Amino acid sequence: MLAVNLAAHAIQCRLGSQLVLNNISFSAESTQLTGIIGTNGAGKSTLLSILAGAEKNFRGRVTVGDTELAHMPLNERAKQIAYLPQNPQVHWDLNAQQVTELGRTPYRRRFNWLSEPSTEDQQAVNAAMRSTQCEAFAQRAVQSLSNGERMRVHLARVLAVQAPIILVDEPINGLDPYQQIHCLELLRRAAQSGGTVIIVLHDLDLAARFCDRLLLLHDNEVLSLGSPTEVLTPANLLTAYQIKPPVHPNVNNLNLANWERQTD
Amino acid sequence: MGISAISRLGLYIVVAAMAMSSAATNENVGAPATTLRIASLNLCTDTLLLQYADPEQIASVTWLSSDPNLSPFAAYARTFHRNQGRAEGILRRPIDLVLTGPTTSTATRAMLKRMEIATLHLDDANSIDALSRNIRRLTQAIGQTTRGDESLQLMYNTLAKLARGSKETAKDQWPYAAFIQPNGLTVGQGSLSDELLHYAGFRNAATLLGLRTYQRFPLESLLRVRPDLLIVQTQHRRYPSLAQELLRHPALVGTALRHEIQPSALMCATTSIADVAVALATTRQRLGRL
Amino acid sequence: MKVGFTKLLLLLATTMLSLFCLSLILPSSFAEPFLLLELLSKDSDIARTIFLELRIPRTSLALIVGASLGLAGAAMQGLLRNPLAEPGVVGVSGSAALGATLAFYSGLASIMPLALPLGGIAGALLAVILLFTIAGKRAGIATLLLAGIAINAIAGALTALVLNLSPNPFAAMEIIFWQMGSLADRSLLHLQLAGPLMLIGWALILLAAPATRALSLGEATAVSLGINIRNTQVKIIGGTALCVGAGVAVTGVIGFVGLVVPHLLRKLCNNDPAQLLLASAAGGASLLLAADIAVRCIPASAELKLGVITALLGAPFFLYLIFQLRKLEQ
Repeated sequence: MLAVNLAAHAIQCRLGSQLVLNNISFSAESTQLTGIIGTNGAGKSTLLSILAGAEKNFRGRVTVGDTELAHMPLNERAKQIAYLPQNPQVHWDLNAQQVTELGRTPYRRRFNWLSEPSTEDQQAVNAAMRSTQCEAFAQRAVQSLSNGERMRVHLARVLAVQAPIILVDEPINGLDPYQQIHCLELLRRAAQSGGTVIIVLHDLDLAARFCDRLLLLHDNEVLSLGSPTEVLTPANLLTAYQIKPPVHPNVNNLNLANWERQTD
Repeated sequence: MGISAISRLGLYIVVAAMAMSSAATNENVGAPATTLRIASLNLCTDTLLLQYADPEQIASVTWLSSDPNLSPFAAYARTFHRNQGRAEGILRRPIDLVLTGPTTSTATRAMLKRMEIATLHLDDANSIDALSRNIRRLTQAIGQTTRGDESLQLMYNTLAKLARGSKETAKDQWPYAAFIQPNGLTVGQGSLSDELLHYAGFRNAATLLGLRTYQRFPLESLLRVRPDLLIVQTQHRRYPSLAQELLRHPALVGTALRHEIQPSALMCATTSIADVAVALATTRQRLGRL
Repeated sequence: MKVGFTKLLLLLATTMLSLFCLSLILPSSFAEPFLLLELLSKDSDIARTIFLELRIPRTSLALIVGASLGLAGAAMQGLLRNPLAEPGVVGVSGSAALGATLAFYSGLASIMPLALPLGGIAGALLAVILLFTIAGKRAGIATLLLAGIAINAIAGALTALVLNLSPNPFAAMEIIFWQMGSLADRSLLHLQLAGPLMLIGWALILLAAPATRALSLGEATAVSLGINIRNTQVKIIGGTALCVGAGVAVTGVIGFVGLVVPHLLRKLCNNDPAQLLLASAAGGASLLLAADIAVRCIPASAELKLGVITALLGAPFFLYLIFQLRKLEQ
């Protein structure tokens, strides 16, 4: 996979009358898992959808490698960036295999929609389902699967695109610890094989453990950008989340459960 | 006590005048025509009233009579008071007799009865005899029996002449005609139009299929039966309706001769149906020459 | 899986063509012989006229209108991701009737015959756009149905008004044709007016077929998979307006076909919205052909209206669907 990086330049986004993002600039490199963290409403999901090209209403630039995202043809962009939005839906009673196959949409020829998927497509789908361990329930309807199984199907769909850039929005919400770790391991593995992976998440412990870089958003701006050690300092966490630790914390063992809310 | 002799006299005069005028208006039906005021609440009774009564006798006719598509006396009808076919429209006027028909609601008729207003009910005529009976009853009630008898005599003479002419050919040689009203509705046996057909020397194609009046004559059956004449209504040119589009179906165009009748000519039966029959007979002669 | 679809399509196509041929030759009553026999006999002028001028237009219209309704139903469901979306239920057919009656009763269609289907299309377009504005973005069942009720109510009232205001005395009673639908006495002219426009509509919808597949995952994901949402919306909205509008203009409102057919065929198409489009077209055509044969051959003093049959089948089905979906929601 070609190494491609994704960069945001001075992104400003206003939704309605509210300023959601203000002057966001950062870049995500290949082979790295970048995490975007921040409080609810800090603009994380909006930023991710802007990076994916799903949200057009913003000022600033997004570049994929040397190309401007805005100048990229739709189909080309679909092959470069794979996006999984928050709370992904599956309408109709599609099974896991069918959902995964939809990941190959950018590669399907325009007027061949009635034909069999090509060998290449089938291989991509099989590989994706194998790495997410979805083969066991390939023929079962996705709506009937458990939360964890469903998450894996969606990830399989994302992996099937075989895009160098992967953007995932809060995939581990509502999953049990096993599934959460499994999901993040999959994404880290995708990054390590050469992908540029950006993920939005809430859990700071997991963010510290799995992400190579973190982007902390606060007040619609970039509060901190860097490695987990650089970002997850008590000062930053106090500013961003209004919480303080009982004692001097260790970034590898934040022990957030014991932190107190700052109330004044 | 406090009433002076002059005011008592005045009171007597007023009462006497009222008694005399009520005596005048309570003339029983059949008295001299000039004193009767008649209102009609139904299109067909309108038509008969307009044909036979003097203008002074006509108190009110329905609004439908002003429509030239529906009434042969439309222009004349407009000179009279217009009612909506209900009792309220005419109660304020001095009325001696009210004509009602099948479209007059039972509520209206009940109200007239409660108010003790004389009414005469005429059902729609479905045969020449029934028409004749209606005309006689009406002209008797409004005191125009002479006019009625004259017009009926004229009608019978014309029809008799037509019948003689048609009988010159054997009945099983008569051509077939089909009535095609809007929406493809036809006319069956035992109706006034059916009788006219016979006077004019036609057989009714609807009888071949056993169709009754107001049943649809299916287009396919029409093509199979192939009547010699299609009798249609003159169409509303400017504004179309689906009902009338049927006659412009490509399958029908050019298949048979068409004879047009004004809708007002057959809407309500009058003695001028004889003219309709005469026109049909003339068309039959044209057919014979084709 | 795909082999299954080919078989399904073949089966549906065969059914459709058989019903087409059957309708062409079946007699309307026991007294008449099979048209085919008549055509083959010597004295076949009348039979030929009946065949060309009456049967062919009627049967062909049943086929293409049925196909349009099935296709439009499946397309709307694919776009709105809602199994209750159907041209009749959501008011598109009703608005098409309004547009068509305006064009017809004003006399415009007498001057320019093409005004009739164009009027229907304009009415349908207005309704779909309105519907999409109200219920487009992730609207639930309730919003969609309410929007449909509102649009149907307005369109129905205005149609009745148009008919009442027409100076032609027969117009007022023709509301029955427009609301119940009928294929009786249609001519080749109707086929020529509506046919080409419907074909354009079909082409537009089928071009959007791959997009409906991606839309199964929601709009945001579909966009990320390279689907141009705006284009897809235009194609499906425009295509639906074209085929439903032109169809209603010549047959009146025939409801529920686009609801029943896609639902019945969805499982057989493996829940693939794109396959469902083609299958629904063939299925809709078959359904309407069968209903028209029933209407023509069931003896009754007044010919049954086509929309009555589809409503008798479709309305209970609609209720059943609502119950199923409410259960799923909970």
